[in-house]
Amino acid sequence: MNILERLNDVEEALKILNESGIRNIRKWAKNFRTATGYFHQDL
Amino acid sequence: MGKKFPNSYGLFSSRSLKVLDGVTSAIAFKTYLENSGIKTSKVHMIQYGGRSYAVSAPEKGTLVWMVDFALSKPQLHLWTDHHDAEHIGTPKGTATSFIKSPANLSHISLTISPRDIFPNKDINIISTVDSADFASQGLKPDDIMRAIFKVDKRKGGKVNHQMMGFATNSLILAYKNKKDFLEELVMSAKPSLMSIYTNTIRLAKKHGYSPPEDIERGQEAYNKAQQGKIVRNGKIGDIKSLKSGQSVLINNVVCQYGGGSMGMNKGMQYNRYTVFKNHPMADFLCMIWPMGLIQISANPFKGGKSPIHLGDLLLKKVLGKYKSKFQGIMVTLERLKMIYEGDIEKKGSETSFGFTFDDLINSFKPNQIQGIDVEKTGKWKDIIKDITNKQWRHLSYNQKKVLKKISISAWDIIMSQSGGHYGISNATNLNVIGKGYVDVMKKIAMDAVKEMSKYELED
Repeated sequence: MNILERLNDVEEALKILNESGIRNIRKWAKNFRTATGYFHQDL
Repeated sequence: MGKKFPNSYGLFSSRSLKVLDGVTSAIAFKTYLENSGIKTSKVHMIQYGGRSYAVSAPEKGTLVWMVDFALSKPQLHLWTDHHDAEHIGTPKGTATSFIKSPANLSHISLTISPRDIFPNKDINIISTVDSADFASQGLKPDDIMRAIFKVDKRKGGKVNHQMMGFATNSLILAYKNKKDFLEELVMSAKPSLMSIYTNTIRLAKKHGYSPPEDIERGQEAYNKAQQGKIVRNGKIGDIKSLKSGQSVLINNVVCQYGGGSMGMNKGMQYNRYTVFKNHPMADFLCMIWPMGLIQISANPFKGGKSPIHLGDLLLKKVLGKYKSKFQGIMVTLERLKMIYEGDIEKKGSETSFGFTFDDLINSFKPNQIQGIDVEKTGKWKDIIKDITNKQWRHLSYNQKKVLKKISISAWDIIMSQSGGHYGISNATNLNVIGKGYVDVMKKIAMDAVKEMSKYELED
């Protein structure tokens, strides 16, 4: 994927993002050192 | 709080059930956080239905993240998903990132993270598998079902890499129900298909799972057994009497009831593509799963697309005929909790989330919940909330009696977790209908097959 294609992907993503967005991850990192994750696996 | 869950489509976005996206999205997100200094110490696999409520709650004080899942959980901090659904019940302060795309992985790997996490060549293979984009690449069931990977020097690196990806997919499918396998895989693998493949092989050896050679033999045995369960010269009425694993082709639609012998203990390895291998001419599949699920889908190995929105066909046209009947069947909150929390007994623990009061109000509109006004505060609501937030197995006789005063229609329960799109649709929770629900499912399947056989896949 070249840089133009990637930019296009990002632009498309931004158009339809409908929520707060996951930003400032470093801010979260100040408050948390460890994490618990949940992921989906279909039947 | 976000919007209440609508009576509409929700949880499935691709032409086929996802296999690799959940695992790879989790590895990508874990890596993304690691790159920012946050170490993931524990991961949990989550599924729609009972497993969603049996999964353990997180330890306090940890950052809680969730990927590739459309229903909220308490205590969430970071939540990303790609399903074409309304995401409801977002806890206050949760940062979310939702996108409508075939795979959550590409969204995490290419847009959320400031730098690529998975190699692009891996993302292409994962997208091929998870969007079931087989026909356009000339891929046959045997290509996708291969579990053994050996480098073929006559073929280029790209082809070998793809074959390794397909073998990884087959092995994950074969081992995914082994206790803690997926969790251990997510925790140990680096963000690449090669690392996922080598760790899968390592874990299989460590825990004594069947090796790839046995998986392939098991798949062949399963395929042979399934061939013997084909009802020849099928008529629509044959669906009523289908036994476990039997399939019948009606015009261009194959209908199967249950998976048949699926366990390696019997030398059989179930594979979801076997039905298409045995019915290559079918345009569509109608699968009846005895636990209460009907799934209709297009054949991913045949060229062309479905000209009809399969979500509309199953959930509006076919199930619509049963709406008033199902609306008349009221299911108590006590019974709903018992059904949803059934997996806690088998696979859960004291720390399992359970079906909580928040789940209730996030799953249904206030006017769908009879016996309580969930929008009003008061003693009754406090009592119901307190009892609902306990695991069903710990409720006293009197507490269960109280929950029996609250009810939701079978129709609303079915619609709350059913979903569909052009290429695939699921009607789930049909077991809440109660006694005789399997016969009702077979009738619904007959209606769905009749409707689907009016169409052909189109280029």
